[in-house]
Amino acid sequence: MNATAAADDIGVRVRTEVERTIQRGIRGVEFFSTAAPHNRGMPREMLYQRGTLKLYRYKPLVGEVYRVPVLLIMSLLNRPYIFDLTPGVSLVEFLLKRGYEVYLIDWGAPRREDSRLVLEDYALDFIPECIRRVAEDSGEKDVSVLGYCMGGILSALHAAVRPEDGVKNLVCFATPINFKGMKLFRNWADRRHFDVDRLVDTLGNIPPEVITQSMDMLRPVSRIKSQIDLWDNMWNDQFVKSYRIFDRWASDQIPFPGECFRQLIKEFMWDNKLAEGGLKLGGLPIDLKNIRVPFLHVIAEHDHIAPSEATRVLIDLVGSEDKEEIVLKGGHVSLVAGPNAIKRMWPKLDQWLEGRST
Amino acid sequence: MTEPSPEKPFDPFAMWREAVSKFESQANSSLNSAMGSEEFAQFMGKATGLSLGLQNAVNDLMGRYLKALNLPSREDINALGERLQGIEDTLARLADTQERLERRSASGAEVTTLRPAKTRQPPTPAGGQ
Repeated sequence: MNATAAADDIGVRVRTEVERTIQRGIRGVEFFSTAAPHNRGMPREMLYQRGTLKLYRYKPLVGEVYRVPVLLIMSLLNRPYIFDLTPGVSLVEFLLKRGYEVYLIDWGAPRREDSRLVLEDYALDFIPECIRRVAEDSGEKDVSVLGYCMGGILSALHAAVRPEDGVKNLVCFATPINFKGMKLFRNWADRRHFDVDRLVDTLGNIPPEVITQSMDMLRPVSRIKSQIDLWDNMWNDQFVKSYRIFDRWASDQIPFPGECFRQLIKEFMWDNKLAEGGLKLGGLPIDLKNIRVPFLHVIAEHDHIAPSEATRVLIDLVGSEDKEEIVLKGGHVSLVAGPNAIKRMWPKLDQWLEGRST
Repeated sequence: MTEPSPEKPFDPFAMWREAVSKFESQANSSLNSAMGSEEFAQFMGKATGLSLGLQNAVNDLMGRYLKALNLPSREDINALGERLQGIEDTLARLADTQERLERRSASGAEVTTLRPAKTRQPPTPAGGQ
């Protein structure tokens, strides 16, 4: 009887696989003959533009909101629409529905002439200016700043140097501080072999392909595996849709401002000044102990881009009394977007922010 | 070969998927070890240096060629781009100032009706804990 049941089961599995193989063929043709879906983000309006920088305010979705608005700050490496991929997979939409006023800084793709921009420009000029604009627009003197990855570094640098700017709460997602913990990146950028000056002097901005390849090299086989997974799941519309949305974002890299890259390699990667001290921006010494506002750091357990060895030190370095670190399952991207984020990070974030946003 | 059990029926497709995942994890780990070596860093440094050297030589040659043809070089285009950006920034500042003046002249009542009330309170006690 058991043998019959097992044979039936195998029969069902084989039949399912045959059906899926047929579907894969049909959907595969469709996949390769159509473009990736365009990002249908939440409605928003641009408040301020400066060079490639754009500050947006999203249209509220509820009639009653918390007093303190939220400002999202993205990394310099990627486009910010990871915060707003598509309805249902949008942190922005979630925050709007939970009653927050949401603003976002889009750094844009740096132009050739932007290769001169340095960390000081971002942390001590652009962010304060955007915060001022948010305050002016919202009519509130304070704001909750949420920074992702390098956006978290910029937010932390700003909060450490300009506490008077009105940051009420600071939230960092997957923010690397101890660059000794980024072992592979650190090895590839070994000062004995890597001539960052020549690279920046020759290229100006660091091309997006270089960034993408570096990221891929952290998990060299995973891109092939993800393509196998895609083929395996080609019959599944939901999987394919999600794959295309994320793949489009991951492939949509932007150049990295050259001087900023030079600074990042020398000051952060080589000298690890952010974690070990000695960093100066615009002549001002940076001490993360000067961050005294309520602070939350959300870390992903399986983050291979900003591993926990690089991120976990931040909570000890900030001077806030009200501070918390949350380690959630997931990787660098699934921490902020996708089913994992929807289930884990977003509710935690809301829970932490709501009591601090009145 | 694994014996089929009542809890986990024999499934060759699942086994294949599991094997692929295992291979991914092992291959990533082995390659990461190789890429974490000093030899790899040295190789990468040399490869980058070669590529940049080649790029410099091409840029230099192209610059001379364009100059001989009396055509603008990349630097000339960049300089134009910078001047254009300067104009863009000035225009953006002017538009911004105008917008702010318009907003100021609009009545306060009109503005407040457009924005939601900021009276929302958290369902949990302050601190969110």
